[in-house]
Amino acid sequence: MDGLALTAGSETAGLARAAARGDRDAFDRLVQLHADQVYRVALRMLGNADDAEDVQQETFLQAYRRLSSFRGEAAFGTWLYTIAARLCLSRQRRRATRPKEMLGEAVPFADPGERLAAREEAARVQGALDALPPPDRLLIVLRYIEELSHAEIGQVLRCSPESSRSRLSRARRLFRERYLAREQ
Amino acid sequence: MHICKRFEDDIVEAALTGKTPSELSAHLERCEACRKALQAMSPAAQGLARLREVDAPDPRAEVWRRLDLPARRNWAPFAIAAAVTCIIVAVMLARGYVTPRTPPAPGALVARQPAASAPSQPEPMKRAAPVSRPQIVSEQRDPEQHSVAGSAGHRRQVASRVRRPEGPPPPTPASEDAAAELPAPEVVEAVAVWTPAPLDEGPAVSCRQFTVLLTVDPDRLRLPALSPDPTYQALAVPTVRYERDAPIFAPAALGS
Repeated sequence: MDGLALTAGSETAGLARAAARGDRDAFDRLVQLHADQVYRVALRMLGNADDAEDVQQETFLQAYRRLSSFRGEAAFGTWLYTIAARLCLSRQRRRATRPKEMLGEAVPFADPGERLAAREEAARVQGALDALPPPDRLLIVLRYIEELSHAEIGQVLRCSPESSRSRLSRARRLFRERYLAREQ
Repeated sequence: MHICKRFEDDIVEAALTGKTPSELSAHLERCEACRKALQAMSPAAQGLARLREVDAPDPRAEVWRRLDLPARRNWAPFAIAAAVTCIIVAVMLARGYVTPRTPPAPGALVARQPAASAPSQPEPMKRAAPVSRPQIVSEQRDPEQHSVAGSAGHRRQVASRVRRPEGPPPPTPASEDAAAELPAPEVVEAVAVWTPAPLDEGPAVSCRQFTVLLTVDPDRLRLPALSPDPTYQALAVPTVRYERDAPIFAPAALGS
């Protein structure tokens, strides 16, 4: 579940080095390992499964083309977050004028026995996320869904951990307002 | 519901992570408003946990398919580069950084290449017959007279010109006798056009197809009426200028 648990491993680092040397099998394995985390961020950012799938594919395409620029200063997973986050924000800007999509599409309907309350709660949180400005939404997603540290968020957003902390504080206040406003 | 401002952030953090710092715990024991605020936010943690569960598609087949597609020629970068180049050239023309080849103003220049020896086709410059050593004259003219209309209405400052004294050369001071025997300067038509754009190196003066870097002596070529900046950018049209003591160009270099 935790993306870092995957990316911090030596296996990922070795695969990234091998992929950078042109090993397609290594890159294939990296895609397999990180597909979930990239899709999850895209889904929570965009609230739409189709868009999330597009961003997931585009993230790995860009990662493959830029493998030579991956210097290993951050974990490979963090690097993927950076690419995915940029793609999500770019897509958000492009569709800023489009009408809001139906909420709840991003909340998976799992087994029929799932409690209605839990599903409604997930929809409420996703609704609060959708109501946030995209940069604040990204912070909440990275911190509370992907469970990244402030240092890792700083690497994704190209800012310092302190900056990440202060920006997250603002995002939290906004999230609380949006969440409570959707009280049922 | 009014909660304590100081703990507002901590309450949301605690609600979303399920971890309550000790300081907040102590506060919650005695502050009912904050306690209720935390309770109101607590379900969000369950919602977030639910949102972590995704059924992600496997993108590998599609990623490889798209990576293995034959590379399509993307013309956008070339179009952008061409547009940027056009804009840069237009701006340079408009600001007079690029000077069209125009004949120098009559009488403005001194050492003109003899008409008989002027080739019809561009060819390497040749050393001219010895002539009397020219003087550098810093002309301080009326700015209106000093300016030359550039393209798009911009004006370039004609700052300094090399002028040969009218009539017979003045008597050379004894101290300059030795200098008078130096090789004659190159025979050229020269107009030095100065603009107050500072350069790190000496100005580049173009002479036909040649470009030569000159070292500017600011004392000789200073134009106090134009700018206190001792360094100027020189743009020259079929260009060369004299210097007081030595020819600017080495003929061998020009002929190569």
